[in-house]
Amino acid sequence: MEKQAQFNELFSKHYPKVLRLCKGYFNGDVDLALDATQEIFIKVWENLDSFRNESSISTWIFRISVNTCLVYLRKKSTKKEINSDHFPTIESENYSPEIEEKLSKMYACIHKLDETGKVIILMVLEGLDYSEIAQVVGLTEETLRVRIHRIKKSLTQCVQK
Amino acid sequence: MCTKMTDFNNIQEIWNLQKDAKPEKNASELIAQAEKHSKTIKQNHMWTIGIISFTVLILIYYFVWTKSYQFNSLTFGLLLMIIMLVFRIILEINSGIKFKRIKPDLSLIDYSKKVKHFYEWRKKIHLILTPIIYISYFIGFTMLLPAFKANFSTGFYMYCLISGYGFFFVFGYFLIKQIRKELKLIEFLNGIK
Repeated sequence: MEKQAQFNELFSKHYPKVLRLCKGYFNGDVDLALDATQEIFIKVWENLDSFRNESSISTWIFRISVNTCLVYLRKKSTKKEINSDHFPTIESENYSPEIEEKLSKMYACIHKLDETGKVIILMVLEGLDYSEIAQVVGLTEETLRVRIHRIKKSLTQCVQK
Repeated sequence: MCTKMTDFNNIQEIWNLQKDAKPEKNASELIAQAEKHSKTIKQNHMWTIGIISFTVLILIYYFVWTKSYQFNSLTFGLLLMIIMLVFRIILEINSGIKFKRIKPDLSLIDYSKKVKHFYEWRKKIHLILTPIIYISYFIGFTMLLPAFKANFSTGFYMYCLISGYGFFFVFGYFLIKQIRKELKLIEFLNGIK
């Protein structure tokens, strides 16, 4: 029962962050992001007993999230591919056309980054500390800082185009 | 530098415009789904082990009952097909267990290394064992054909012939597709640095 209470708390606290991360990873595709987020929280539940407080629970959840997203599409037997020229189902979230366009462009630019870059910038945008991002990705903080600088530069250039 | 920061702040503002979506399922429903999922996996394993054991028992019984301790093309062909099938199933179960052992809470770089290592192991299987299993299975099937021809009607024999070899090609097509997908995954994981 204690485990269930802990999971409920983690679920309500981290669900929006994880979903946004997945949406960013899957080029704004809400359907894919919802499915992947569900799979992530199933893994969180299944592995909760093995959490040893070696990192913060948030870092632990982000590690599971990032790793699940990484192999999610490639493990699926469906032929669903992300097409960066086409903006998927964000219109289902009822944004104004102007916001929708901005979001679509941002997702498309994030999607053009390499996999590690994509994951790093999504966590930066989500407001995670650099030390936490370094733990999730497995890089030193110095290397991470250099990479973030480069990613930000390339992302801003893309969005401005 | 200051301009860049402002530009990135604009991206951050766009990011913050995203609405918080409500979960499709609540925490309890998700737990129930997770429990059901692990129960299904356990049941599937039990079924697979059960079917393999049953097949082996039937085979042993067949040999004892028909007293055909000397191999002919029918028994050898049948034995070859069953052994290859069982071998393949065991290989896939082992593969599933091996993948499940990769902890999902590793860092991205460690996780991608482990997954890559797993698919490289699968690549070796695909390049060495899979062709052996695939060819042996159909050698076994071909060895059954004289007995089928002698004992079945022409129509049924033709059906066995066409469906058997048809399966050979269809199965081969899906196998190649799967192998290509896994090789692409290795290539993709090589890019995680």
